This record gives sequence, C-alpha cells and structure tokens, in this order.
Amino acid sequence: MQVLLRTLGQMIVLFAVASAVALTANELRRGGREPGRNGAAAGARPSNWIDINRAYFARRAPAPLQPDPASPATAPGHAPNAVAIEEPPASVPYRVVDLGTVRDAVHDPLYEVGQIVLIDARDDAAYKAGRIPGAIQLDYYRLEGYIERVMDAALAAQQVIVYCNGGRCEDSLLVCQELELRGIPRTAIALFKDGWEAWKAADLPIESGPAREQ
Amino acid sequence: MQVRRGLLARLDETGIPLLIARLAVGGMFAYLALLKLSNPFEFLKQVNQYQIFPADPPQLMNFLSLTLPYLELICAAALIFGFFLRGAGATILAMLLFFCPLLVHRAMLEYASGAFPGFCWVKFDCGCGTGEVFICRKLAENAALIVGSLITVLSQSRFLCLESLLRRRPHTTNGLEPAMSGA
Repeated sequence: MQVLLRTLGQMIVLFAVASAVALTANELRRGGREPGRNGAAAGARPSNWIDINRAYFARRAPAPLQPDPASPATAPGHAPNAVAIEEPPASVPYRVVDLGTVRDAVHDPLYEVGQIVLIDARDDAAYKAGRIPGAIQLDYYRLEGYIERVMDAALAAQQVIVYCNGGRCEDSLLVCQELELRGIPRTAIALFKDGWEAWKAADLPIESGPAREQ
Repeated sequence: MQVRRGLLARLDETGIPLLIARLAVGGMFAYLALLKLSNPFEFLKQVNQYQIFPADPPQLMNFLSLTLPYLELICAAALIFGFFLRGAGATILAMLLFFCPLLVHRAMLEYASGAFPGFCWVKFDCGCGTGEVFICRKLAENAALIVGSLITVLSQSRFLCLESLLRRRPHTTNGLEPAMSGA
C-alpha cells in the first residue's frame, strides 16, 4: 500500500512539474519576439505559442448557402470571373474547385493584378519548400504573423482560393472559416480540396523560398 | 514456479533488466517528446484527430496537448537518470495503456474504409511525432514499451540510480539487505 501511495505521489509530482514547465515555456514563447515574416510587422508573436483559450478546431457552422437567382455569382453552373465553381457538398460549406480550375486561375490576368488570390494554409517549412506560384501564406495556427497582409489582399480580391496539403488536411477549411469570420463573403471563398499534393503530382510549376515582396 | 520466481528475482537483483528498460524506454520517450516539442501544433492537430476532447471549450485539449510532451520528456529523464522510477514508469505505462486502444480503434476505422488491403497495411500519422507509421509495427513497438515500463514499475533494483546514490542506500528498495531480497 505504501509503495502504491508513493508511486501515485510521484506521478502527481511529475505531472505538476510537467504542467508548470509547459505553461512557463509557452508563456516565454509568447513573451519573446521574432522578426516579421512574410511582410508582417516586426515584433509579431513567436511561431509556437499555443493560445490555451483559442478554439482552434471549433466548427462555427455557417448558414447553408442559398442560391440567389438574381445574383450571377451564385447561380448554379455560372462561373464568376474566370474561376469555375461546383456546388459545395453538405459537409463543406464553401465552393470546391479542382486542379484544372486552379491551374487556369494562376494563368488568368486577374491573378496577376490581385483580383484572384491564392492562399497557402500550410506552415513555414512547407510553404518555403514549395508552393503554387504566387500563393500567399496564412498559417492558421500562427495567425498573428500573417493575417494583416492576407486580409489586405483578400479584401481587395474578387475570389479567394485556399489550399493546404490535400487528403486529410483540414487547415484550408479552417482558414476559409477564419476568412469568413473576418468579413470575406462566403461567395468569394473557394476551397482547393486536393491541395498541394495534387498540384505537385501533376508536375506543375512551383515556387519555393521566402515569399515575394509585394 | 518457485524456481522461476527465484530466477527472475536473481536476474532483477543484477540490475541489468532495469537498466536496459530504463535506457530503452527513457531514450525512446525522450526522442518522441523532442519531436513533438519541435512542432507543437502538429501534435495539437493529431490530438484533435482522435476526437477525445471537445473542440469547444478548448482549454482541456490545448492544455493537454501543451503538457503531454513535457510530461514524456520529464518521465524519460527520470527513467534515464534513475529518480522517481516507479512514478515515471507508471506514468508512461498509463499513457501507453490509454493510447493503444485509441490507436487500434482508429486503425480499425481506417481499415473499414476499404483503403487498405489488410489491417497491418493500415498506415497513418498516430501523433507520436514520427509521421505516418504502419499500425502493426506501432503496436509491436508499444507492446515492447509496455513491457519495459512494467519492469521499471515492478523492479526492486536501484542499480545505477540517482535515487540510491543520493540516499546512499543499497541498490534495492524493499528495505532488506541485498542478500535477503528476492530469496
């Protein structure tokens, strides 16, 4: 019995020490500063700070998309601008675009002038290793370093296409939700569900290294 | 049976099984903890994939995602250096016993989806820090870690342990003279 109590006591002490170290290390990350990245202001929060109170994965269920016959942007089968759209499946409340559509969008003159914006929802390492040419980065878990620049571009654009790795990656969907919450109309947001893996597999041009200055 | 217990006890007295278990389990958990700590958001995402904790309110999931890698690292250090041995071994054992059924459950869901030809072909990122792994290999590794952590919990030896060096005790924990333990 004594051995059991002693073991339990040790477990509690180990957990308490681990919690204290974890919270302290997290606060130290928050209190530190890193140079601005991707054009973000200098002094942006360090990259690995976890906000304990942030609901990173809570799905804020938007209202179902109602087609408006008066609006050409939402008429079924109509492609606004140069980007073809599909009716979203019930589980994804945003328009889903395929590889061909994204490839066409990248070659569209509207892309060059910022009327179509491509957002890469992956982290720094993945973004720098390779991305769709011209895509700007928005790391959903480290919003503060990116959101200002991305919102400037997204608000000025007619269409925003978001991607991450594809497959099981949900980060692009989370970014779409975040953009909508910050004021981008849902009709202007599209999701490239097959993502980076599909682009890479199709042997299409890629860009790498730090983001281009705009 | 008595002969077998005597043999196990004599083997335990040498301290070698415990030393091997401490270094193997401690080393493995230290490595995995450092991988998780290098990308805490990746671990947070993997914890969310298991759907054990509610996404909202987020405090429990965020706190445990933050704390568990440090708990692994501290328990690993405890095993390697030889202090709080039973507590560290029991903590690691508890984590393994909690995690393995979740792993099997998730693997069964993946297998049921039809994407893999056999159960042992199922491959996914389990959140251990090493990326995608084959389920059978992962379960075999976990079984070995469970055996190792059981040894650290049950062993009476304190061979080459900081605990015994600091307390200046003989390298057994049952309070008896070394010659009498396990007899």
